[in-house]
Amino acid sequence: MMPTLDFAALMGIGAVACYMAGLLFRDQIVLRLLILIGSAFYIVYYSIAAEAPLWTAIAGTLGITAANLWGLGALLLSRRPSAVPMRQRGIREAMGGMEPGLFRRLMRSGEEMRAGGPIQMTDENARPGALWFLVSGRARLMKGGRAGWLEGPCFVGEVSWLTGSPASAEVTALPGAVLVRWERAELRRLVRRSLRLETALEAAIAVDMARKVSQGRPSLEGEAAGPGGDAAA
Amino acid sequence: MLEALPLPTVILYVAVGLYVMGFLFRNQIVLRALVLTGSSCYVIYYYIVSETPLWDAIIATGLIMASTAYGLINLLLSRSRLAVPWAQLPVLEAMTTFGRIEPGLFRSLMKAGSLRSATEETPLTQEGVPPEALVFLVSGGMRIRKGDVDIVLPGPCFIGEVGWMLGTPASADVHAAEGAEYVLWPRETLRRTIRANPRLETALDALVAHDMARKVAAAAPKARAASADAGSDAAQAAE
Repeated sequence: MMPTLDFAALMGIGAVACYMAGLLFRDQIVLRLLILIGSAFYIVYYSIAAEAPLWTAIAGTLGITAANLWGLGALLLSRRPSAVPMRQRGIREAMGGMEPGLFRRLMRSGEEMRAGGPIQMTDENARPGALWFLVSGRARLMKGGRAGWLEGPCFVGEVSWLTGSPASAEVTALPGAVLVRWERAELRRLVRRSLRLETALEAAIAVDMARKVSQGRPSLEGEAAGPGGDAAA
Repeated sequence: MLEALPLPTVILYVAVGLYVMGFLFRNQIVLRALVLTGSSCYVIYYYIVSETPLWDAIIATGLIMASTAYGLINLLLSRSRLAVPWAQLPVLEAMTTFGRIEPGLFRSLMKAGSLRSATEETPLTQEGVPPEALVFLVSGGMRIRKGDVDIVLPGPCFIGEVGWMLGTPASADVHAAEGAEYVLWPRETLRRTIRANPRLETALDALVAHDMARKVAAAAPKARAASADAGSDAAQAAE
């Protein structure tokens, strides 16, 4: 006949099993939820395993639970679109819906502005000092003495940001345009600290560049817009 | 003055402290390393706290340590080139000439595609038709035909990346030149793969961003030399 396990032993086994299973997962939400359940089992176990509750062990497990809950809360919060301030939600959407927590970090190092007058964002043949996002409004392009137009939302200076090459045109935001400006060195420091943020920003730029390539170059005075395409290839 | 705490109690506090710190971190390597160290302290504690070692607790903690170590090793492996099969290393090296991708994600990406060698000129995209696959040219050349233009360009680079991202038709006929090596991901298979792994989608998009930026930056001086006209970083993308 199989030996029977008492309730306390079952709680102990349940706790260990949950901890083990949790730590096998890479998904941090699953990991933390299982650890949370495991900790609950541990607390029950420590309460009933001996004649008197093992208060030190219970306090320790409560400490672990609190830290885990804090981490879980921060994780869930960073994925909630509502974590993004109302006025920035449109910018996030325009950028393609980056993970809210990463977007907030990105925006903390950016400067939002509305152009009261013309604001020069890039200069032809010079490396831009900033990465820009034209949230809405228009910008004027000047290249080789010819003018063209850009309509937001789109990044400006993104090729230089990715390759370090000089900008190929002067781009000036027109009055009324809504912009975000990231100073180059500061943004570089920020993304160096977070590979996830760097990758997310690059992914947002990829979609933007693909759109530009697909739609063709901006029309310049005296000509129709030309086709773009995968033949950036 | 504080009384000196007994050694087992100190070790227990350290163990709990390490667990607490571990769960405050979002970085999984730090989290697991701290839990592993904390578990080691627990094992020592259970060994010395009473006259005879508490074997049940030691075994239980050992099991937790084993799963933590397994997860940690998996994490570290996924960031190491050791995770990449030898035959796929040239592909990873070609990709990292312009971007970067975690080796573990690269493996997941490669599982959805197939590495091929063109024994003859092989069509990859057709002008005006949305590409059915995303292609990465590892080595060798590609022939691009569009209108009167017929040029051969070298890899490594993506082909069909705009169509992949936006579902738009290709703007040129592109063929893999004879002898070219390339990876081909059928559109639907890749779509399913990244749907199951959003980190992979972001990593792939970031790689594509670097590739497109490089192409645009390379195209700009040529365009200038030819007195072409589109402008700005933003506009370069269209050149």
